[in-house]
This record gives sequence, structure tokens and C-alpha cells, in this order.
Amino acid sequence: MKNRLAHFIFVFAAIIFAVLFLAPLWMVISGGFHDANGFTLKYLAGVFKNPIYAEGLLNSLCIALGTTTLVCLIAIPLAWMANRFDFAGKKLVSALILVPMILPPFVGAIGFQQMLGPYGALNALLGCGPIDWLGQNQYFGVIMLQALGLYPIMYLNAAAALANIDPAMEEAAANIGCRAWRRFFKITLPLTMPGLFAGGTIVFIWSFTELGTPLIMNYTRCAPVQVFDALKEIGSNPFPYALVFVMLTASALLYTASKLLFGRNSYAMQSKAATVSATREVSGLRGALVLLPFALVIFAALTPHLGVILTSVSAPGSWYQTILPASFTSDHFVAALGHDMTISSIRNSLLFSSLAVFFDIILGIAIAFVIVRSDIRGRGILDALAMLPLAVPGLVMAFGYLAISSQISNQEWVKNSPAWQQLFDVRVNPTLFLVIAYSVRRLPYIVRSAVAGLQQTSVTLDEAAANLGAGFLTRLRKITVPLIAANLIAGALLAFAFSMLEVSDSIMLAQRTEFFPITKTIYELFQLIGTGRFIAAALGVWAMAFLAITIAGSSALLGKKLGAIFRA
Amino acid sequence: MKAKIVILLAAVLIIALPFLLRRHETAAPADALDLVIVTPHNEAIRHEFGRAFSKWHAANYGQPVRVDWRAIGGTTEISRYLVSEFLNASRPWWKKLGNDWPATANDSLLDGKFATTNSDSMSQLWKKFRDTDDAKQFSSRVDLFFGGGEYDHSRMAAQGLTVVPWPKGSEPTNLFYAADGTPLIPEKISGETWRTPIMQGNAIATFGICYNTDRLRELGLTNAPTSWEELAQPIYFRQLGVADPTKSASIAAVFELIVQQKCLAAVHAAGFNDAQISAFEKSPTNAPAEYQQAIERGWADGLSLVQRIGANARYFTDSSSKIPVDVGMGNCAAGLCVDFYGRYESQYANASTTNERMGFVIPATGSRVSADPVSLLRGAEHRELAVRFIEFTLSEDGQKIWCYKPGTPGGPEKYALRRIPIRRDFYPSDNPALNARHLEHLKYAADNLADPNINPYAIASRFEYHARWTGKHFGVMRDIVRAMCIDSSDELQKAWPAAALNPEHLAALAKLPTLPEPLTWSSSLTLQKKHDRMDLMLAWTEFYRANYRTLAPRPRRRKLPKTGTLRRPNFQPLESEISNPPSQIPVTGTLHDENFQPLDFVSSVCLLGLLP
Repeated sequence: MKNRLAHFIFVFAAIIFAVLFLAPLWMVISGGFHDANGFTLKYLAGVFKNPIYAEGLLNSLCIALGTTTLVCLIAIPLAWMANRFDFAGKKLVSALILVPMILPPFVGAIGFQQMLGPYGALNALLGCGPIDWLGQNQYFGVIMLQALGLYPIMYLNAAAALANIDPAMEEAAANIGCRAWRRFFKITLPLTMPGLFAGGTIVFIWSFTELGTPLIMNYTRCAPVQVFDALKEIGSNPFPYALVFVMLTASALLYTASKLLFGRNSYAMQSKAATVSATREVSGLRGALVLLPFALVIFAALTPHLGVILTSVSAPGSWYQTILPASFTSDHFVAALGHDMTISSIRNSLLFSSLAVFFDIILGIAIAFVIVRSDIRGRGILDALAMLPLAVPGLVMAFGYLAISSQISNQEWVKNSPAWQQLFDVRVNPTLFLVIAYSVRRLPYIVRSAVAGLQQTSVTLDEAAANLGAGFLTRLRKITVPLIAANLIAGALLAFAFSMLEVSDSIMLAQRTEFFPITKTIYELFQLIGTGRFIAAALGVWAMAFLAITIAGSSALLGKKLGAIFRA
Repeated sequence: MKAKIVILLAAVLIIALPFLLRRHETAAPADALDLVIVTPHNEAIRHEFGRAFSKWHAANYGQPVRVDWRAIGGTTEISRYLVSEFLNASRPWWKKLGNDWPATANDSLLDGKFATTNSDSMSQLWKKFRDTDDAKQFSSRVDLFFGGGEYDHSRMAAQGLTVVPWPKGSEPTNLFYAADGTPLIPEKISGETWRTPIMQGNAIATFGICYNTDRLRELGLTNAPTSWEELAQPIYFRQLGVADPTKSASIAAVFELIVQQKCLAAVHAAGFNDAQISAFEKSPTNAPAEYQQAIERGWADGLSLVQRIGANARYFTDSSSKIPVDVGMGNCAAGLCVDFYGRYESQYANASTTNERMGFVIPATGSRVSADPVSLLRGAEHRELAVRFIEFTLSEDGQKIWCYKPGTPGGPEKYALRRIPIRRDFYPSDNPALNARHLEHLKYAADNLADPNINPYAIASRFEYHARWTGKHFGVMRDIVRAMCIDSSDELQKAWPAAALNPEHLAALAKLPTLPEPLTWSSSLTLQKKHDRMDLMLAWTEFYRANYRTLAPRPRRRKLPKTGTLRRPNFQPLESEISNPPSQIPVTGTLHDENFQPLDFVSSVCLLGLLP
């Protein structure tokens, strides 16, 4: 890649980051860096001096390490088996394996409790009395629930990386007498490393800063919950901002460190998986043995989803000390899907998320190019920077965007022009800011996927085309993007699904009913006392069904070549 | 191909479903006036008040209204949002007047305690900001703040964000006083501020205990809890849902009430009667030393009671709706919650069963009766309409929306809100005119307004509030509770079951921090001024954690429990445990038992079927 172009993309991406991410972020966290006398570092120092915050950071780090390890243990073997074997039920498990990541907010917690609460389905099934599964051993509970929710990210990245491997490599190793086990560690694992690194870092930073699961488990001694607690506190407290800054810095450092440790050696292949027949058919008992771990993981991970689905069809109060609800009803679906907020919120969510993903793909490919294909200085910074949006609490970003919008819309030129107001004033129309918020927060998935794809693909293919006189854009369109399409689709699916489920930005930026996205409608329905959580669960089920069909559809309709990652 | 068709059909069905089930709501007429209200209230309240106000306005002023509700989350979010809006709106206004925006303005402009001088530009800005209430100068472009607690509204008033709707003396007639002069909405009642010139209380929130009878039975309790003291018994260990007082001013008010009641008990125990108390509270300088000491003792007793309730907490949540939902589902045995949440959830939890699964009580000793106010924001663009909205919500017509059954004349259309109206003429009264109105409302109300456990005037009369005892301690008590129960909850829960059995340990558990200096009722107020809040909190938290650690039984080697012992043992409490206050609970051996340790991780994984 020409350095001039690389520099241009670098500067362009840096400006976009500065304006759309760092500026709103700084608007909020600068509160942790000044007092009545001006700039101060005392709050930052206070975070480290205060053993409570230090303990929270350490706990978060351990949770992240534990979650990432568990996720690797779950996802890598599964992805490998899906890549290698053909077995009965593979189509079904391939479709279901990604579903656990699409748990709708708010009602997800209810799903957990209905299944695992003292009077929940599990205890009714075991008949062992009111064990409080969620009320004890929170620390390990958080790790386990996070791992079961996040393994699809790793699975998707690992599957994409495995799909990219040229079977000729392994065949060559087998030819010269390399045994299966050794082949895995010497050939397969190193070749998939970019994908595993992509998945692993996302899972790591995600679980380092995850708020929802610790809240469900009532585990309070970790940094994200401490930030949330302090932000929600009555009155003003500068510490959460300083703590966010520390979390961000820690995430960037941890990312850089893990890149030095694991992300160094990437081996690009001259050719991609040209043969798709590398799978081996296993049937009978051996087939069942392969199917079993899939079934177990999916079943465990889908527990809360099952809870949400059953809640959405149970009459209030009828699912109590029983395995299944005692009486079923479709009323909640009628109420939820018929609500006047629902249709517009579906439309809004689709619009905001698609625009965000579109924007992410363009920016993501550009950034990945600079990171992988250029040797300009500072590309490592761009790489780490692209991961940071994962580490910022949603609430903080939401406050930031709100503040920016409010500042712009109080300018005279905006005040006097309805068109500018439509664009910049979230009170009038939050579309621009929601799209920005979604795309900034979900950019890391696409950047990581694209980087992994580029690392696995040899630059010589691109160079060959250049030799033949193809221009940059032609090469991009005809050579590079098709070669990394599997990775891009994987990243785009994650980005789309999680944009649809984005919480804090949606709640704060969409203020008028006609602009509510689906998560805000779920939140609003959830707030209704009495039947609220049932109706919200019904809409949550709809959202899950929609995302599940999107994932299944993209694998079926995009065809074998593009959908290599879902190759069944 | 077949798979593709199936997926396509499923996709079509999923997308079509909402369109098939869509209900068409009537849109507001084109000539409707606009009113912008920011609120933490839920969709049910927004829907009913928006609809009813439009109807009322059309009937009285000839034009319907379209309320543009701004729902951006809870009061924390709203408060931040308005601060940001006002700062951003006043900056260009101030610059346009030819002034520089002072460097300290972002911190000082909304500081209610900012000391103004005559000359410097910050003081000029501060004063001018508070003198200006004109949408043409600057505006947050929101007209009203509706709902949230009295604390939030008072804070916004101090920040200068809200203004008086009616100049003194020009309040609408018959809104605050009946024709014969009887107050319809008192300004203060038992320590609560219900209205000031700047904010108007609208609906009342009382606090009580919700409980799950099945869980109670499992714990060996036959009667529902009726007092805060009962919740402090060790039998409720890890069974209570408690809201976080640092995030909710109303739950902080409940803890204040608990401390108040303990102060009263201590003063009574020291031999002072009610007449003496009111005399001493009128002129505290005349009070004898023993009286002051009794208050000090009572204050410490109250904190100890809060500590023991906190020790029993399963969690401290920021979400007020979580607790009744958890109790209804049986995740908690009992919890502290707001009246309408408790009653509503009970109704739904009991809907499909004949026995009472969930219940809600107001403690016999009384409850806080806090008001949810409405305030007019500075520079409201639709000021006239906003003031009419306030008038509507305080009128009988508006108050009916809070408490009438859906579909009744003048009541809500779709949702029963089941909130407690503030007006005196909704409740039984000795005044025949007011009582006649009450009887009329009683016919349509969703709850029995004559019930002394619902009537806020009856609940408030159960105790007399003495501001001097706890009023100024409100902020510091929140911080103490945070350090004592929330930030040190793990250590507290390790120490509590064993300490509960030993009076000496119980006394040690209740010890108040000695660092940076001994914490007492009187010192707590000066401590706050002398030390940085964060330093103070840290010192207290470290004190409590260390203290609890010394009281916790030594950890023993954990053995994998046998399958039979996975189940938590049922405590069989003695009769006396139930009827006596917890400090006198006799020592029994059932509580400190290693069976009590949380379920082992490996066994839970196995049971979940995750490790084949």
C-alpha cells in the first residue's frame, strides 16, 4: 500500500476518532480532571490510592482473564469440530450456536431469574428445594454467564479463520507424517491465530468492562459496576470519570500487551481454502459424541433465552415453582407487537443499525488496511484506538453525545434552521447521533475481523493484480474484499446484532416516541408495572427471532462462497 | 433450496407480525398546542396524563394539547441532561450580551451556595441568570419536570433551574384551600415537604415491606413482617431486597425514618414524655444533657438497626421496580418498596393462585409520605400552557387520573395507575364538605382510599418528625450506610450470622467509626465540613471492613458438600426470635454452620450440566 494513501487514511481515521469518539468522551470524563481550582490529577491518583477502586480493577481483570480463558475453551474446540466434521444435526447446531449472543436487554435478567431463581425452572426440575443459584458464588457466576454469552464472538472469529485456512497446508504436514495433535498445534493454531486474537481481545475487553452480567448477579466489586454506581449516585462525584479513564488506559495497555504476546506472528497464506471438502463425515456413536458438546453448550447458553421466551407466553404469576408455566397466553405478544411504539421502533432500529454497519465496514476496511498493509509509524496507536470504544461504559458515551448535541444545537445557525436542527438536535431528531453512537461503539468488531482477514491473506495476490495494472479500487473490489469477505460478514453480523441491542445510547438519545429504537421500546414496556416485563419479554422474543433469522438468512442466502464461515 | 424457502417464509412471518397486530392510535389533531415535559414516569402515566390534560384543556380553553414527552431514563439522567442544557443555552446568551463566559462558570453558575460579590463577572452572571426567565433569552426547550422525588426538585430549585409558576398571591383559587379555608394540599407534613412556591407535590409515595409468604414459610416464619425491626433478624439473612440509598433519595428517607424512630424510643426510654420532647425541640438549648445523650444513643441505635437490615440484604439495587418483582418471583423473602409497586406486583403475583403468595404492608410505626412534585423550568417556551398543566394535575380532575379505575367517569382510559393522590378531599375527613368529596372519589378509586394504610394523612399521623434529630444528617447518613453496608457488604455478611448469636459481638458489630475521629450524632455534621467527602468515605469503609473481619469466624477448609447438604438448611426460629427485637435474640446453634457456606462452584457447574 502506498504510504501517501496510508497517511491519508490514518489522518482521516484519526480525525473521525477524535471528533466522534474522543471529543464526546472527553466532554464527560474531563469532569474527573478538574476541580474548583482548575486541572487536577488528584482524582486519578485517588483511584489508585483507594483500595476499593484498586480492588475493583483487579477483580475486573481477573474476571476478564477467567472469561476469556473459558470462552477459548468453549469456542475453539467447537469451531474446530464444526470445521472438520460432518455430523447429524450439524445444520441445526450451526444455526443455533450464535444465538446466545442475542439476548435482549432488561428482560434477559428476568429470563435468568425464571430459570435459575429459588423458585425457578431448574430447581423445580431438580426437585431439590429453593437453591439460590444467582445469589451465591457471584464471582464465578459472572465468569460463567459472561463466557456463555460471549463465546459466539470467539466462535465466529475462529470459524472464519479456520475457513480461510488452505487445507493444502495441513495435508502437506500430514503427508510428511505429522500426527493430528501436533498438526493442530503446529499448523492449524498458528494459521488461525489472527482470528483467535481478534475474538480473544474483543471478549477480553468486553468482559473487562461488562456491566450487565455483574448487575444480574449482584456482584458489585468490579470496576464497571463501581463506575455505574457512582454515575447513578445523587449529586456529583468526580471519581467515576477518573475511573473510566483508568479503565480505558488499562484496556489499551492490556490490548497492546496481548498483541505483543500473541498477535505478533501471523502467517499469511498464498491461497485460500480452495477446496471445501475438507470435512470428514462421522456418524453413529462418534457423530453423537461430536454433537454432544455442541448440544450442551447451546443448551446452557440458551437458558436465559428460554426463560425470556417462556416468560413472554406465561400468564402473570403462573410460572412459579414449576418447570414450565402453568398457563399460557398470547396476550403479551398482542400487546407488545400491537403497541403503537413497536412498528416505528423496529423501523428505527433497522435504519440506525444498518447505517451504522455500513459506515463501520468502510471505516473498518480502511483502518485495517493501514494496520496490516502499511508500515507507517503510529499504526499501532490506531490499532489500539480502534479497540477503545469497547471499553467505554455506554452511559458515559451517551452523556457525551448528549452534551455535544446540546452544544451544537445552541449555536445560532442551528437554532434558526429547521434543517440543521433535524440533523444535530437530538431533541428534534436523534438519527445522526444514534448512528454515530452505534457505529463508534461497534467499530472494533469490524476492524478486528478485517485485520484478521488481511493478516491471513498474502499481500502477493494484491501485488500480482497491481502488476497487471489494476488500480487500487479495482484491486480492493476484485481481490481483497472478496478474499476477506468471510471475516467482514462475521464482523458485520456482530456489529449489526449488537447495534440492534444497544442500550444506554438508545435510552438517552432517543427522546421522542417516534424515534425510539427497539431497545428503548423494550425498556419502556418493561417499566409498566405488573404486566410490563411480560410484554417487554414478548418484544424481546420478537427481536431475538428477527436477529436469529438474519443470521441464519445471511448464511443461507449469501451462498457457499461468501458464507464459508457457516459452511454446514 | 428448501432451507432457503423456510428461512424466507419465517422472515416474512416475523416481519409481518407486528404489522398484522398493529393497533391504530388516534393522532393528536392538527390544531393542538405543544407542551414539552421531561419525566421519569412510565408510559402508563405519560399516556394517561397526556390524554387527560389535552381533554381538560380543550374543555376549558378550547384547544387540545399534544404533550411532547421526553423520557430519557431516571432522575439522575434527567438532572444531568437539564444541567447540560442550561449551561449550553446560557453560554451563547451571555456572550451575546457582550460578556465573557467566566472560566469557573460551568462549576459555579448552578451552585446554589455560590457566594456572590458585587463586582466580578461570575457573580454578575450568577445573578442575571437567576433574574432571567424568558425563552427568548435562553431556554432548555423543556417546559416542565414532572415526577421524581422532592429531593430532586429541591435540588433543581437550588440550582436555579426551576421557577415559581404563580407570583405570590395569584395562585388559582380553590387549588390549595377549600372554600372554607381548609388546606387541601399542606405545605409540610411529618417532616416531608409537599409543596413550596416553586414545586408542587402531586402524588404521594409511601414505603412499606413486601413479602413472599412461601419464602417466609420456608424460613419458618408464620406471620408477615410488620415492622422494620423484624427485617433485622438474622433469619432474613440474604433474603431482603433493599434499594441503594445513595441512588434513591426516597429509600434514604426510609432509613432516616428508621433512625428517627430509634431516637424517639431512646428519648422515651430515658424518661422524657412527648410534651417535654416538643418543649425541648422548640428550644434545644434548654434541653438537659441526658436528653441530648438519649438522642445520641438513639441515633447510634438507628444506624445499628439499618446495619442489620443491610446485613440481611441480598443486594442494594438502583432500580425501585426490581425488589417487588424479585419478591413476587420468590427470589427474595421480603423487601422494602414503594406502595404502588408493592400492591401492583402483589395483584399480579397472586393472579393465578387462590392463596396469598405476595403481600405488602405499611409498618405499624408509620412510613415516610414523600411527594412526587412537578416544577416549571426556567425559560419555558410554552410557559402559559405549562402552568395550566400544573394546575390540572393539582385539581380534582387531574388527581382522579392517579387513583381512579380505568374507564370510570373522569378516570384513566387504559391503565390503572394506583398512585396515592395528594389532595385532602380524596380521604376521610371531619369536614363534611371534604368528606362528601371523599365518598364520591371512593366509588371509582382503584384502591380503598379510606384504608389507614393507604391514606397518607393517616400514615403521617402515626409519628411526629423532629427535624433536628436527623434532618441535617440526611446526606451524611447516606454515606455512612454506603460505607457500613454496601461497600463492605461481603465482610459484613461473613461476620453477621455468627455475630447475631453473641451479644458482645453484636455490640462490636455496631461500633461506629473512630477514624478520622469518633463518629457521633453531633460530630457527623462537623466531620463533613472538615474532611473531603471521599476521604471520609474511604476511612469509614476501611474501618468497617476491618471491624467486620475481626468478627468473622475463621475460615475453615472447605469441603465439597455432600449432595444432601446442598440445600440450605431451614432455620427453625424460636417463637421469641419472631416477637423480640433482634438485639435480644437468644443464642442458638443453628446459624453458624459451615453448611451455610455458599454452594461450591464445582457442584453448581456439575448440576448445571456444563461439565459432562
